[in-house]
Amino acid sequence: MLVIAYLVYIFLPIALLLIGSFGETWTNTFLPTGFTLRWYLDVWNDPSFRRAFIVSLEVAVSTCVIVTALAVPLAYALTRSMGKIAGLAGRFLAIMPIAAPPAVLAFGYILIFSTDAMPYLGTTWLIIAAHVVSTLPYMFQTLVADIRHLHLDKLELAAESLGASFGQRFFHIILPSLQHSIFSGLVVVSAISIGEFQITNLIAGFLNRTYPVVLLQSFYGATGFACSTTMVLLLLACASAAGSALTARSASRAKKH
Amino acid sequence: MSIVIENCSFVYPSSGIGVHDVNISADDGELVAVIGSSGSGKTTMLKLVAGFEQANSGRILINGRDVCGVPARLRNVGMVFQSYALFPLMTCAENVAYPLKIRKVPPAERRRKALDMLERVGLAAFADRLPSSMSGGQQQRVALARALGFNPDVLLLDEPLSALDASLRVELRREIRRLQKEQGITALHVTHDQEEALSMADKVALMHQGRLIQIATPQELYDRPVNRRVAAFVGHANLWDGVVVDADTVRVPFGELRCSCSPYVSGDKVTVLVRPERVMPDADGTVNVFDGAISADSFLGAVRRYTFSVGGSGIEGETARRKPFTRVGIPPEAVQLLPFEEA
Repeated sequence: MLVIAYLVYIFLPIALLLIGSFGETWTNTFLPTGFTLRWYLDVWNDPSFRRAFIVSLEVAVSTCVIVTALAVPLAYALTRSMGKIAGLAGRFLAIMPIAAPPAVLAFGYILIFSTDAMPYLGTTWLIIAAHVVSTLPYMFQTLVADIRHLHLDKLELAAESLGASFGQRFFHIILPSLQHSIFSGLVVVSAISIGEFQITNLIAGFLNRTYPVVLLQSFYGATGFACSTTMVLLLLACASAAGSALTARSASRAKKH
Repeated sequence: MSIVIENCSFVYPSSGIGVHDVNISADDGELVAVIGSSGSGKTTMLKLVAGFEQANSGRILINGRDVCGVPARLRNVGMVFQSYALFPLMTCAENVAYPLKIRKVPPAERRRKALDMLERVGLAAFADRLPSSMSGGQQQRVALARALGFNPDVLLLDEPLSALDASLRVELRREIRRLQKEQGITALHVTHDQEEALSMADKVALMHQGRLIQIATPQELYDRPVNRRVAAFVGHANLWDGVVVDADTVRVPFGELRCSCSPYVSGDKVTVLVRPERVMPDADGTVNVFDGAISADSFLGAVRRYTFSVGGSGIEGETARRKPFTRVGIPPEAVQLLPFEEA
């Protein structure tokens, strides 16, 4: 019973958004009236939404690539060196970006990157960097847990005794063993990156706003338009999560053969 | 191929424990078991030979070549781990072929060699199975095939049987020994199981607190332990504090025992060792015969292990005899005197 209530609580708003996005008019009634595809066409024809859609994809893909490239060696290095300082650094890295309110991080970026020395505020690269900082902990924690759980240190010793160099161990043993955690990490990273609003809203330039930032404007217009733009975001998040997951899978398969 | 460990010392920087001035050698084709309780440094010794740790001082020679400073991957050492350490995403054949892949053996040839090796451990039918679908014993056989399949100079076994059931352990002991002899490879076998060590090894090295206490053949280690610790660790033992009375008599808590006391002299404190199987129930004669009663008795199938109480002291014995008895004898030649040490 509780589970059903919970599922209704989760899915009802999404269902209403879906219905609303196809409804012609929706004012002061429980459900909209009429059926139209107009709102989706409006979103498609709006250049600011189209641009934002592309920027969001660019940011999400770049974030996924950079986070993977950083988190895998970092998690590996930190689990290998069991020193106190390394452990502390790992915990700090894992918690800090989650614990710090996004507004604090964003104001930090604004202060630093609006100077003459580093005039990067409003660039897509700064958005990507901010997303990397906020999503790295999720990937990092998944990887650390998996490295410990799989006893990769033992497997590595075995590979070493069999003659494998560091590079061979990393690509033959470590990376393939971590494919599942990279896979699940990427789903989370891409979903967060696509949906990120707070920091991006404060640091994006006019021409490289991401989809959620532009989405806010649609709430000031027709209900149907707001619903359809939100549905597009949901689709974008799902597609990006599925896409990053599939990429991680095929990449690890390619590596294996 | 031989392994010579010469005056080797190593201390873990974090804990300060390690091994001190250890000398162990294994001649060509020999299997040397290193035994000791946990923390004795036996696994550290193996890590030093494997190259996972580098000795602070001393030398380690593999086939005459000093390998100190040589990284583990260049030592050409086959190693079997307690946790099997098979690569979970590779099939058995791929696992066994992995060291050959590293050595750039062409795919067809390494597959053939891997299958040949799996055949020798009786697992040819499992070549394309993943390790996770196999039992512990089978996995350890694959690990053994992997460790031997690339013609390593020496074989290192790190408690390879500890994770297995007792019956399987005995079976695998024989298998390891058979393969090791077949290949004529020199092996160092670390274990905490003294029975395993005694039954498999050509020589047994006993370590305690990072030091080598004694290295000898299994028979010698059992029959002529150098001190109380070795006697207690290897097999069962009666160990009593004693004082030498004269050249032929030593006083123990329950009376006097006739034996040869050389090189000790009258008044020396000693530790007196008698193995339980040398205690004779219902003994005839008058020398070293004691009257008392059985105070503890456990039937173990082939033998019966008992404690015989004499005036408040206990004599541990082992016998095949089922009938009760009230007298035991200790033949003088069964009594050994060791340097005095507190229990």
